[in-house]
Amino acid sequence: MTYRFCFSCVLVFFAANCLGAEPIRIVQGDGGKPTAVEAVGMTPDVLARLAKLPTDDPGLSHILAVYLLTDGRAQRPEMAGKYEIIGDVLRFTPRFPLRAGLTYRADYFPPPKSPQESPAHYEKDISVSAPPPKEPAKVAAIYPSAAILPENQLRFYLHFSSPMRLGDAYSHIKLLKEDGQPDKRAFLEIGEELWDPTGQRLTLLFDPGRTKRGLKPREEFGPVLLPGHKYKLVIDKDWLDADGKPLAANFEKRFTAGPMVEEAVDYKQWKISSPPTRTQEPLVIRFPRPLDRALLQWTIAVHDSAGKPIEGDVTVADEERRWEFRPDRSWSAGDYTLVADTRLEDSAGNNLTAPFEVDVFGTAAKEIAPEYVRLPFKISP
Amino acid sequence: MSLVWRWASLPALVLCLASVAAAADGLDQTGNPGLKSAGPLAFGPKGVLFVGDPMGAQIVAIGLPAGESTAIGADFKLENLADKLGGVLGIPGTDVAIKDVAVDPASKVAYVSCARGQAPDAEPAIVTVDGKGNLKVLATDKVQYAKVALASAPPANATAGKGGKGGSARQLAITDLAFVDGKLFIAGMSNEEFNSSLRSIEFPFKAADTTTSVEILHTAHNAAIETRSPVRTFVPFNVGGQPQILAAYQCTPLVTFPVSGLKSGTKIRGTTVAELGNRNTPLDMITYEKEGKQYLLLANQARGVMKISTDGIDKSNLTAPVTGGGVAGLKYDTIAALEGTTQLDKLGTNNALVLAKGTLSAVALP
Repeated sequence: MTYRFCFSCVLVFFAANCLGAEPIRIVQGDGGKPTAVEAVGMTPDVLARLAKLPTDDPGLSHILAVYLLTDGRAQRPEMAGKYEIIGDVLRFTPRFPLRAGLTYRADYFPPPKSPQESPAHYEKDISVSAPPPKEPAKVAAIYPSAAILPENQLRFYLHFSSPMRLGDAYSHIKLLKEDGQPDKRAFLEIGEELWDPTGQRLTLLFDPGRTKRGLKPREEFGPVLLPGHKYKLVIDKDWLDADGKPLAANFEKRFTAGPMVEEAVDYKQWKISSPPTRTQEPLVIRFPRPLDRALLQWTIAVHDSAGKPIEGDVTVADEERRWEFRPDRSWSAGDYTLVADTRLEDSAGNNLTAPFEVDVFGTAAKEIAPEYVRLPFKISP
Repeated sequence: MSLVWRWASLPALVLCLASVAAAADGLDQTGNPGLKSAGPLAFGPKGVLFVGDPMGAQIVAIGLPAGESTAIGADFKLENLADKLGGVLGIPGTDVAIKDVAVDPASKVAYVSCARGQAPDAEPAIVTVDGKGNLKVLATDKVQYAKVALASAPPANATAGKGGKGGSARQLAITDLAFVDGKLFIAGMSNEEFNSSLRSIEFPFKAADTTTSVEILHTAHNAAIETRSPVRTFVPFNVGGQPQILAAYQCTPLVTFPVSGLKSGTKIRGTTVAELGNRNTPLDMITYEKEGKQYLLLANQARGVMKISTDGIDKSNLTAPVTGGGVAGLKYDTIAALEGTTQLDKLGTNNALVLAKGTLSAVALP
């Protein structure tokens, strides 16, 4: 990024013994980026005294400080940072970089050289120009991709084309019922928001209190989804991306609620299609019902006969009912094992060992279920 | 401050080198711990601050610098905290994302974890606020520290897809931390599978794999139903002389379970002790004693701050359905004066520090 910035130096009070050099200098780093400010013109005695202070001594900010300008006024307190005496100048390096698109002000009060000298004050504004605008983000996909979702659907994944601004997700998401009215209590709203590390995927949970049986939110407001009813998940374009720009367009996903899915995922029903040997054709698993797309990316591994995981790429297709694994190297004939992490869930939160809700009060297993299930398959010569 | 007075006070800039506390036990590294984010905070053994770093999928223990500071008093009030944080961070206050506020029980100085903006890669910061309202960024570039990775990324040896190749999108949103009897307890919520794990890690940290995940089940007010649900916030609490964790769930009630039951590889069922009604999204919780009785103070996203009596907590066990959005189990009052509270921590025995409507202030415990 190239930083262009303008400096305006204003002499607020110019003492009789005026400084010869410019009193405030800007230190520039890579690409002309302003990284520090320097105060010029202090006597060696003063500099020697200041050099003995800790680098973050608050007293040093009485001499030199940098403020963010908000509506032309300095936002107090001053920016945090480190002070150093370098040669004959006092340098202030902000703890955090000056941000593109904002304006800052350096304030310098040189200590008087004698009790008779009138105090002086200099200031210099630093405007860091904003980088050229990028393409606004857009909704790239919403999962599950099926048009019929179970009444006890647990979550959506919202994928964006570029990183989003965090902290304001829920005000831009609506679930519209068949009559066009929004269900204002459809989703679980948590302050942290459930993003991936890049800020490009949000996990949106239906309010579990309205999904689970017997809980008060469900008793009072009913389930969010009713079988046979049509819904629209609407994302409004006022949602800002990480650069502060609104989305390119609104987005909506239409779906119909289907019957509940209340059983654990039965991995014994999976159909495994072995690829031909000496090819990189994909190994394919077909599931009787859609599984969670994010979990499908990492919960199923392929191990060779020595139990070593095989490297390759996973593709999820057919409305999350098909899992394909394309190995980095050609298949050899032999025995293989699919190793599935039992945390793999369907779209209603049922996993490989238990349904989302277990109707066995008093008899629930006291031990955690196995971490993996293993499904052998063979590649013929 | 006038220019004359500014320089009249210059001689008072005395040499006072900041000293660093002697290394607390367990802080085995020196340098920059590499925080990618600063989320929930908790204080450990004296001089140790635990920082939850969800973006870095780690917990970092930082040795705090020693030094004189002004304790926050009962009449403390600092308005527009976000704007003041914005000043020291060099960004508008509206861009500051405050993640947690915790009071150091030793110094009674507040520590505020925040992000310098709302972008996913925003720089983290921990800023101290003392009793005079002075803000100071905690320097983390050269500290004594220890850290432990949270197993939020998919296990490398069991993945075949993108996750195994370093492209994992899985992340744990850390929602609360507490240090109890030598162990750090961590509540969090995965952005993928829906589980009810509560992690505990011994401190000093050992190997990363000492993290234990414990399944916690709770009743769903219908005697035959058990479900998974993430713990949102929790406090250590004694019930009948037995150390317990009192946990508030994302969607359901207050639950207790014994600390002794939290063992790796086992599944325990919590006891539901209160149902606090609909729209209950807990944010933060503290316990305190007043006039010989113990209370909980629970900040709630939609329903204000609740003062909950713990009378009968050892006898409470809700298994029957609670209908009509009502209240069952422990009794509570909503504290109108604390409306809008988003952060809450204990400040000594008689006060709490709250962040409400942008103002950080000390309030008497109700």
